[in-house]
Amino acid sequence: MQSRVSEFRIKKLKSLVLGLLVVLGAMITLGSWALSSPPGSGPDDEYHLSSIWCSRGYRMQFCEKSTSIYEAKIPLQLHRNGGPRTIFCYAGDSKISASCIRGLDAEAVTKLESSKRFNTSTIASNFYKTNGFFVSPNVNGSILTMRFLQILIFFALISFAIYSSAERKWAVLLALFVGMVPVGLFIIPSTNPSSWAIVGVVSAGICVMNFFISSKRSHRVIAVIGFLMAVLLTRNVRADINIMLAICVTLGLVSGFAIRETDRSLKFDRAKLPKLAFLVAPGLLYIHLKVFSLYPWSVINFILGGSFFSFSNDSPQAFLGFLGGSIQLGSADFAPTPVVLILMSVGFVTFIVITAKFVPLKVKISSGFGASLLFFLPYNFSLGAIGMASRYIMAIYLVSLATFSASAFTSRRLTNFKFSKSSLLTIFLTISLGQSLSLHQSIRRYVTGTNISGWNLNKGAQWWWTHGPSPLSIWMIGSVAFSTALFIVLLVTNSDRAAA
Amino acid sequence: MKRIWVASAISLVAVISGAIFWAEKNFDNPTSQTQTSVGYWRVSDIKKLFDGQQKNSSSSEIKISLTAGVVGIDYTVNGIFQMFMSDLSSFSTLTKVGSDEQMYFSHQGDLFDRWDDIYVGGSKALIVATNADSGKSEVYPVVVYTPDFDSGTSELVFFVRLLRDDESAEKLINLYQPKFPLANLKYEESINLVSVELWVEPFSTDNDQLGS
Repeated sequence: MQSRVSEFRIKKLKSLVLGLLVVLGAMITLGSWALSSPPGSGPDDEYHLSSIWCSRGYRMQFCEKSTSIYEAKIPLQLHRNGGPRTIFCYAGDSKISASCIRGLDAEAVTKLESSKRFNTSTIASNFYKTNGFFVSPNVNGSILTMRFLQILIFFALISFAIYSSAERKWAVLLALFVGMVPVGLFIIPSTNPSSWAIVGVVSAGICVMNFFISSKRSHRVIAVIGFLMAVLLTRNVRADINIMLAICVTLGLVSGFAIRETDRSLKFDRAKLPKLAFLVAPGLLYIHLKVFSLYPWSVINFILGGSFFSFSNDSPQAFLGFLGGSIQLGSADFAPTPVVLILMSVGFVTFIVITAKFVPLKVKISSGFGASLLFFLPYNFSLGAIGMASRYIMAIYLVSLATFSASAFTSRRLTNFKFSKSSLLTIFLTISLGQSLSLHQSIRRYVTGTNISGWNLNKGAQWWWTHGPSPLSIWMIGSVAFSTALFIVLLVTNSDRAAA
Repeated sequence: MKRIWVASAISLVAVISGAIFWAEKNFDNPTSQTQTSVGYWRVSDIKKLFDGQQKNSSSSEIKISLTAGVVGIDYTVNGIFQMFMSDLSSFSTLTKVGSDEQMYFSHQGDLFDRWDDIYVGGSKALIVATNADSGKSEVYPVVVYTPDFDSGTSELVFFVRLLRDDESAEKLINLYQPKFPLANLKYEESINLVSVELWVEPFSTDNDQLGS
């Protein structure tokens, strides 16, 4: 009896140490991504940074009154159209480094110019206001601090989702590790509101799933707190946030319900279907009413009306964007090399194939619904003025993967199945390499420009942060940290099964 | 099996540490000497700017220097000169005395609107310039006061007088350590100077009139 207790304690301690190592690895990875690109490299950063600078009203040096009520004076270096005298001086040409930031003259860093490009609505105002606390005369320092704030918020929120996942936490973590490379790793530590939107919606979706699955009260309480925190954080953070929440919460709800039933037996009790339908009806109705272009006749009309190209081009591109292809990381002048797309595709397909055979049919249907939205929603976005980018629908992608992975856990446990070593090795190598090469390319693009190649990022560097480790060190640290964390996640996900 | 894992982990840490050490040793940071931008400042912000950095000291002293391409100094009446600075760089430098901490500040017409609040009765200054007629580089100790801040963004007019007998520029000379010989402005004469720097005596951030 005593040896059983001590075995249990050792197992618990081992799990805790490995968990801490994973958290540390993930933090270092996101920190490396935060340092991999210069200020202003995020998507639409001139708008978001101006909005942050003006988020706390008129403040001397940061955001001052202009002659026009539709404008405000913001530092010249935050004007996109300020050309070479701004922190965006490198934008649009991936062959040049970010060295021009060093050459900003005194006027560029001290003068304030009128601008119309800043937020005046309530959309994302909480995001801008929170980051607005960190605005200082040192623009570079402020932006870097904001990036690390986003990382902290990410960990704070996702920890609710992971903790409430209980024994499924490693499966959920595996899904996030596969799904986050490379777009998520670029967007989370950025000054773009999508950072909060992604982490908030994903956490909300997973927490709802966990609430339905979990039988333990503490897990359910954490799931409820996590859900509320996520909803509060993401409230109004993006114009499409409500529809994203409705979709992901519905996905979480369906999956949670189906997984709970599977927990008892591999067969799904059909008598529960009306209850499930009742639970998901509000979400589906909301989605149906809000996304007009998802009406079947709307889709048919658009396709017949000549919009087939948009349907066959934008949607697949948005999906490839998750894997590091075609739509860049949100910034038009930087994309990972094509080999990242190939590696990530192999890793993604391997993950889906080895997981799918254990996923209950109901979860397959709900994840299929999520996957279909990944194709239909880009179509809807591209019809609107906003255009399409992978980050807009990334939360659905991640929640679909997480529910998929979490549901496979139960069936695997019931059949006591272990993944083959070759499939685990494939996932490890492809996703680790994909992450490492994306990070390398991100740093390369800004330290020398992409017309220079070579593994040594320190050689010929024209730009870097004034303090901290060198570009090569950041790449090595980020790559090793991610690979170690992924290795642990894969190992524990599999070994957990054998022990059950 | 456990030993293999431990050995692998230790080897990995050793290899990575060595690689990072090598990378740091061989990295010449191109940005390390770049001055960090500090934003847009007015004289009234100066106290606030330095207040946050002087937790352990009661006050800081700040040097101001202005740079201009051409300066004309004309004698008016009663020992007063008018100094007209043109081709003025639109930004000047603040330096914290006793450190290399520097920052830019902007003119834009409103920089000097509190000058007289800071430098009550004028401030001692050194005009370091090349005499356009003789071609000699010289240092002129003066007292500058009441700048005309409506002059424009690249022009500035000060009233200037010579130091009185009871006033000394010694402290200022020790601080700035100019390399050129001292010279004096002459009454009833006008001079033209080029490549001019105006080094103003440091003021203390303890001045309560600042930053209100």
